[in-house]
Amino acid sequence: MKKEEKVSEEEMIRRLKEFTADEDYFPGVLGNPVTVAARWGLPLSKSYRDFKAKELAAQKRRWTKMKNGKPAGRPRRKAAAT
Amino acid sequence: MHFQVLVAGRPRPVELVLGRARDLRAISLWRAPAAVAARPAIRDTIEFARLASKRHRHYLRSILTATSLGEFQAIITGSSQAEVALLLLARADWFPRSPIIGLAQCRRTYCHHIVLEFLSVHPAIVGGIEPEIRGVGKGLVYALVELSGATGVPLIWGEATANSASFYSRILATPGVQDHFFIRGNTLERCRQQFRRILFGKLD
Repeated sequence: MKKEEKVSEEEMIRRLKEFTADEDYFPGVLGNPVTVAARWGLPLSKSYRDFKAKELAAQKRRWTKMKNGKPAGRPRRKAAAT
Repeated sequence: MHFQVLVAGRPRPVELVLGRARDLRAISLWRAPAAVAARPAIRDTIEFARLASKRHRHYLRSILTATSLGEFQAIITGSSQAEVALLLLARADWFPRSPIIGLAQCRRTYCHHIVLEFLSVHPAIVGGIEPEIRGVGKGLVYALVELSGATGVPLIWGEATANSASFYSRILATPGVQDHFFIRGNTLERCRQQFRRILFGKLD
């Protein structure tokens, strides 16, 4: 059987720092709550659904182009007739 | 089972357990610190905590669920084709916001593989709220690899997303991960070795 390795705290910190450098790439979750919930038939919370709906609407606004080729913004109000 | 993470640059132990019904409440009580609550990744962590809690409650009522390594081994010895639900939890009694700092929802399939369904880390850690804690996400994946190796599971697989593919590529040293990943063979063995040598992890 292998003997347990004795390591100083400094060496432990050095190894852990090197090892956890990849955490900069960790997105916080692995998976997509929307597809997971759909696959399992579980409802998403209302606040999360609202958040995703706003996110989607913002994405669609970015994709939508007006006929003149400029990005579509919020609809402008007509100036009040004087 | 345990491993080490870095908390404000110092090593602290994290205990690994397989979740029981009583752990689900602690998970469903995860809250996002106000300063980071609007970030999409933070919202995802909270939503996954809710889903994990609901899904595991459903699993507890419908398929075999292991709440310890010994129980997992007993189930698969007794029924080689059993589907077994596993909720791997990272517990830290030194973390003030919750006793649970991360979770990985998994399932052992009938052919003795493990599917990683999703993984989530506490929103305060993802949001970088003081003290900075590093190594929970990677540690959970490596702990799952160690658990698999110790129980003779030859393959862990799962779906990668646009946000997680580069993370899997890096931690598995497998360039070009796209929408799926496989941990097996030399990769599985290397991750197990690193879990023990660098994360000072142990199945105890």
